[in-house]
Amino acid sequence: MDFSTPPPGGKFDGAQKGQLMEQVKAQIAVANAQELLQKMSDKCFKKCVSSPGSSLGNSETKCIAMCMDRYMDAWNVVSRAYTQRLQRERNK
Amino acid sequence: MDDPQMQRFLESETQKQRFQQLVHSLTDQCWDTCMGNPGQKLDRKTETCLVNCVERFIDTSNFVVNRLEKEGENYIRKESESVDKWN
Repeated sequence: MDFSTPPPGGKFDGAQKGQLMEQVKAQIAVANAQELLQKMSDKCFKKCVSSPGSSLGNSETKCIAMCMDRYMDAWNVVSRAYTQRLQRERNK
Repeated sequence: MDDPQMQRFLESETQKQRFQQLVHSLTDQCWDTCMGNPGQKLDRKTETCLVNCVERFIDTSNFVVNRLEKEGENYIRKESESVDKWN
C-alpha cells in the first residue's frame, strides 16, 4: 500500500479510500490494545507483585492471570455504565 | 480534507476513540477506588462500586462545567476589577 504518491487530481479512488479507512481502523485498534496492555500490566503488577523476588512465583502468576480477567470485567462494566449514562443524557 | 465520505469516517472514528479513551481512564481510576484483591469473579459489591464511580465522575465533571459557566462571568469581572486597581 502506498499513500505517499498523491493520486491524480489529489483524490483517492474508491478502493484506495477503503484501504485507507481499514488502515486507520487497524491503527486505532492497535493503539487501544497497547493502552489496555499497559494499564493491565501496571495495575496487576501493583496488586500481585508486592515484593519482587528472583523470579515470578506460581502464586504471583496465578494472581496476575486472575487480575487480568478482572481488569477486563471492570473495563466492560465501565464501558456499559458510561454508554447507558450517555444515552440517558441524550434523552433528557 | 474535502472528501465528505472521508470526513464523516474520520469524525465518527474520532468520536469512537474519544469514548474508548474515557473508558480507559475511568477504568483506571475506578479500579483503584473499587478493587480489592482480584478474585475468581467480579463480585456484586465491586460491580456496583464501579457503576457508581462512573456515574459520580460524570456528575462531578458536569458540576464543574456548570459551576464554571455560572460563575465564570463573576471571575472575569473580579479579574478585570483587580487589574484596574493595579493600573
